[in-house]
Amino acid sequence: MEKILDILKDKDKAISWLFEQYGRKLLGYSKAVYKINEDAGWDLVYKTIYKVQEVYSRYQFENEQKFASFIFRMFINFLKNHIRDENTRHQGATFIPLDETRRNFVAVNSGSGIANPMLSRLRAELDKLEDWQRILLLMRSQEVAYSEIARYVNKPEEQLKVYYSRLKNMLSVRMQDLHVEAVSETGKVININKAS
Amino acid sequence: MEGSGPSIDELLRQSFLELDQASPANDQLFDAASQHVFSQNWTSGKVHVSASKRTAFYRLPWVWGLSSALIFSGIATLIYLLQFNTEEGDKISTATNQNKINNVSSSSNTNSNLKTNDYEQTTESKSANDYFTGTYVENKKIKSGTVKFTKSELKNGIQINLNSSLSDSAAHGSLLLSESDNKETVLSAKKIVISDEVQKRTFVKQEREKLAAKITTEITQRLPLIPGAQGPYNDKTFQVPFYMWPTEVTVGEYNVFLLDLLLQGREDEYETARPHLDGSFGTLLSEHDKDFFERYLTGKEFSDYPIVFISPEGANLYCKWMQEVISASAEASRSIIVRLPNKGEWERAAAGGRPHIEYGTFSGTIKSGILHHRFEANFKETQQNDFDFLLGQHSETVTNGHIKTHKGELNTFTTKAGIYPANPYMLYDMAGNVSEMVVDRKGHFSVKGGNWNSSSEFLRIRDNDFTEFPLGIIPCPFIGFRPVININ
Repeated sequence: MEKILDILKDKDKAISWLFEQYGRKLLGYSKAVYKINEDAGWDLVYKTIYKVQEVYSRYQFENEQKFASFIFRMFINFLKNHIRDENTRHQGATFIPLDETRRNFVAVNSGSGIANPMLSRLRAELDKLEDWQRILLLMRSQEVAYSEIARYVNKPEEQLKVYYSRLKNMLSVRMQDLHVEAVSETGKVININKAS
Repeated sequence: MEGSGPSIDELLRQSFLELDQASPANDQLFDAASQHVFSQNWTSGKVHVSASKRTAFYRLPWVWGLSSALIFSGIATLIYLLQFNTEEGDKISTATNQNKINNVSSSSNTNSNLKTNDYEQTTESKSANDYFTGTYVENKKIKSGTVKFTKSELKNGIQINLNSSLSDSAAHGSLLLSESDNKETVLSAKKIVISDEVQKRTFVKQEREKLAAKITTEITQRLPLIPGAQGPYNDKTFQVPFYMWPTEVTVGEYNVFLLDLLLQGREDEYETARPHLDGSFGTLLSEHDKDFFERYLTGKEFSDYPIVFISPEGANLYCKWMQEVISASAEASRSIIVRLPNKGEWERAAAGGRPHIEYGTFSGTIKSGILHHRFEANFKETQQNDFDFLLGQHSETVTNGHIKTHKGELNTFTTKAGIYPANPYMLYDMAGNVSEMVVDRKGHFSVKGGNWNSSSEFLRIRDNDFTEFPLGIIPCPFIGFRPVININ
């Protein structure tokens, strides 16, 4: 860790080193898991690298793994903001006539306007699960292998696949209770298909 | 919009991003995920700089920085060595040495290390970051060749006066290059490398022409003309008709203005006009908020959002600049004045020809619909329940910025200019979004219309009994402006 801190002190060297050690991997991850295009991915990687070099001295890292986790979290923040921005880039204001006979969430427009209530609902459902179940679902969303997850949740690897499948099905069923309406550009109220 | 919604997998991936990083319960998840990510053999990517980034002037120097670090360090060294083995290298060496010998510090320079010389770039060829290729004046003699600046010169700053007397096509003005300012704000426009000079001037010229054309079109076809009257709202004075800009001035529009100031060498005006995150309000911001605002004020994704953090003097300078832009394209016989509105003008424009109306919105109210759940303005609703789906709140997903109120509540921010329906005069956001500056005859500034953080009483057209800004009109995230135009 001392060696890393020494490298980080020299900005040019730090940027090159961070890029080689972590930048490419972060790009590959964002492309593979979140389907980010290459230009946007590089932009996020550069932002992360520069930010890390700028702020690393404010933190203390026990070891290189913690430092890597720090970089990863910073990248996740930028990625999250980017995805939010992308989802709402073409958003416009549309008035939604609320049907008072149905207590439904309504969406302003496509993109995150629809995803937000579903995301909130998913979060609520995840909170109801046990810790290991939540970890399993979220780690698999990041394409972490079952063998690795098994070490964290202390369950046999072979059983995790079954658990994962059952949990996903259960979530799908619960999410289907959520009706989402939106208003098209012509002003027609339409139903959005439920979560698949 | 019809079609399948996001899958569970997509939602789970998004949920992962939204996890609270500060919560110890999620530490294990992030540590495991990071270990996984950095141990995998993802597709390797090359260092890639797209053409759009080279011309994206509002993008921060991410690409420049990394390209310089990775490519320039190798190639520049090679070129440097080669040049010093050639005749050209002798010229460079001579020019550099002569420049050092003839180092003239202008008394107007704040930095005594600055070097002053006259340069004209006559070619559009790309140069490396610390070269200048073209014609230059040295010791009152015109020379041509390549001048190379040393790292310490770049670091300490170089003042380059581009002298119009050298040729008709020469650029004029002065620029200050500084490597010490690493802030990723529009100030990074100051880190203009010489090879970019022509490109930037061309860009700004085009943007000015576009803006002039837009203004001319707006004036002749679409710009709302507020009719003259004898104090129809609260004002008893007679007022002539005037045109009003349909939306609050946006980040994109304001940044063109700032860049033009820099390239014209109007640095004092730039310093006054630029957004001030470092002012008194800025001391109240957290690092997270500052990062967000820096992104907001310079990011392309916020170019259609209202400009904030500017001073009344900055707003006046924008009006003056807009007047120059319009006048340059207008008929010589027409007199054009661009300025901030006065209170009476603003109120009359907001009323939209409706006497005794309360708010300057489409319907005259800020919430409409059967259940009063259609919001016609971006402001802070003080109570929430299950049915409160605030159009104003969708700005949270748009901006991703949060400012906590004094009660610690998360609040939202501005929305894109013009997304709520216009009032009868086709003016947008005359209630909410950002409070708009107005000026009285004595030159005193105040604000009208309320903003994204205002409660509803501040959105009213008429004045309240107490001001929303007791400390005065300072650069802050609540205040913007829109100009009015008189054409005679």
